[in-house]
Amino acid sequence: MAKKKTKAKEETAVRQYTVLVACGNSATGKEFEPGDTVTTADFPQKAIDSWLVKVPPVLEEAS
Amino acid sequence: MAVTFSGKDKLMRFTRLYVGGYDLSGDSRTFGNAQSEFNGVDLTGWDELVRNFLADGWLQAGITGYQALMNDATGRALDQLQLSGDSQASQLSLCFGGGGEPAVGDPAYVLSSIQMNDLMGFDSSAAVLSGIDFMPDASQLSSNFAKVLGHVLRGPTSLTATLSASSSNTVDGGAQTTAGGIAILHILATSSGDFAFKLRDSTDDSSFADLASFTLDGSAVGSELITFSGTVDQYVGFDAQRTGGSCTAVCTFIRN
Repeated sequence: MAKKKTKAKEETAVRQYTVLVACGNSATGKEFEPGDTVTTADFPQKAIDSWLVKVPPVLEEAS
Repeated sequence: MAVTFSGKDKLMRFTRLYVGGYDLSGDSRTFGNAQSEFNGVDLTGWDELVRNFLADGWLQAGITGYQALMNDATGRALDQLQLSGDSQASQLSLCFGGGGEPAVGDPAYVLSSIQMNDLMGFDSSAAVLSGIDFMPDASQLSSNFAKVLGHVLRGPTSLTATLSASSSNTVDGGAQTTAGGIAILHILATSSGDFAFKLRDSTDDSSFADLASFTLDGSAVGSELITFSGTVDQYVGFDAQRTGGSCTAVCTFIRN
């Protein structure tokens, strides 16, 4: 039972991404510089997914 | 949403020619041809009635037959056009304003480097520089020079505050592309301008990332070409972060 709770926690953990190229959200006015950490609270998941595979990439998954 | 294009309202009156950071429009009379074409390679056989051909793959670019009044005031037509291409920033942007001064979204014809020849002539009523041709200078071309038709990202309006790339000043390219592009910045006027200029792109017209940055900071008249490779997202906007002063900046952009 305890194991199940841990798994559920992991699944709902917010993924974090490291900024590689300066970026910002014009809707919220938030700006981020390389080295900053962002989440889906800062940008829509669709934009994040696109930036992970962009050439050169804007974000990478934080380790 | 990104700007919408204004339609069939491109008049010579609102066409503007910027060369190396100078607006030569007030001295301009006309031009013959803004070239963007390929020649054909004939593939027709003996028994074919209609000529078959393939484009030869070499882009013919350049502005021919340009005429300007012989204005020798500092920064005007003769003053600028007598300079050889390598003694000044030699980028050229021909911007087609839609019913007014060129603005974001209007079409632009762009040469990322120019060499030119000019003939001086006189007609019955005016001294003119006639038959000037602006042609791409192969020795200065970047590897990203692939097209000459693009868009205005910033028109000739004074910047007195920070302008951030947002949905109100982006051009919608229809989709993401992967072959990079070029952009040219002309600083036409300055009053102790101190800015950081860059292009930003976006997949959703809201989440923007830096695409490329200019070195020019708005403190002096001039022009600059930047090139970039890789992914260019669907929406591209001009971004000017102000530290102080003011300047008039024009930016044109081509997506390869």
